Amino acid sequence: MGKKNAVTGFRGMMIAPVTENTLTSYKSAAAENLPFAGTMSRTGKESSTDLYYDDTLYAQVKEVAGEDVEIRIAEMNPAQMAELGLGEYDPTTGILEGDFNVPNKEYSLRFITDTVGRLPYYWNYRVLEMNGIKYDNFNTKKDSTEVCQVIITGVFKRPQMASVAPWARMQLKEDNSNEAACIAFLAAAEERPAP
Amino acid sequence: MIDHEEKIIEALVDIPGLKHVGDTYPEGLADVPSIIVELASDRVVDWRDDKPYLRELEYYLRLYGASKRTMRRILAEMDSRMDAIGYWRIFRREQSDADVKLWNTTYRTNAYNE
Repeated sequence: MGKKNAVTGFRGMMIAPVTENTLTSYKSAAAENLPFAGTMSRTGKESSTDLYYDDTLYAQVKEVAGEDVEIRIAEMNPAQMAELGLGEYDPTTGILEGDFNVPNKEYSLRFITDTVGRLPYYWNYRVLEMNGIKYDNFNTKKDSTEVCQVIITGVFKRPQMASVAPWARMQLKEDNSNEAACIAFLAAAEERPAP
Repeated sequence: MIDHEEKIIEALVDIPGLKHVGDTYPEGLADVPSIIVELASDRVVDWRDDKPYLRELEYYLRLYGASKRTMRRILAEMDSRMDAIGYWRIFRREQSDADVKLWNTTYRTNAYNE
């Protein structure tokens, strides 16, 4: 019987700025770590139309244009917050001057999930339009410890170039022969068409 | 493994009037007031990147004494010194017998997984 591939866990997030996203090209820079992953929840942006012929349902045409996404992490350093557009950080004083808005930049989001069979999946969502970074509600300490998480919101979209899929997934082979390729899939810059 | 026993002993060892602080129990009234330090629990309370991120540590500090007046003074000093190293008292119970008075206290802190 083959290895079981039910997904467990969520870790190793990396984020890469999309530098080109046009009808004829897609490019992302090399990715940086986005550590302390907690959860990622997604909601499809769907529309559907029911078609009736011969007095019965003929077809349901469904279109999913993208996914609203919310990512929760334990912490983010102020320099990275500034880099993602939340404000300006002065390392000399340690002060982050923050805004409520981020400038809706596009990123490629990559991460790893393990499987029951211990052959992890490496994921790449190619266009995340980030539209928010904020801290969750603040609470005084009480009996049970709770981390005030950093919440990143955005929308997964299709790349403009038609031949580039909005997301891709690679799996580590049993003999680890493609491990270097998996790591590159996660961390390296990407260019389409391939150079 | 995170182990704060030495840090706690070091914080409490020179409380005025205290005869002993450590992990050995007093043998008689001559050895009190004394504080015994024991790990109550060390548990993961938050996970990130599929690994433990934050732990919660609790230590029992058993305060033995002959006089409640002395023990109250020592407990106030314990609270202050434990607070200085990041611990807060969350529980206290009296468990005295005819020979010696015992106050069981529990102190708690959070620590990054190491």
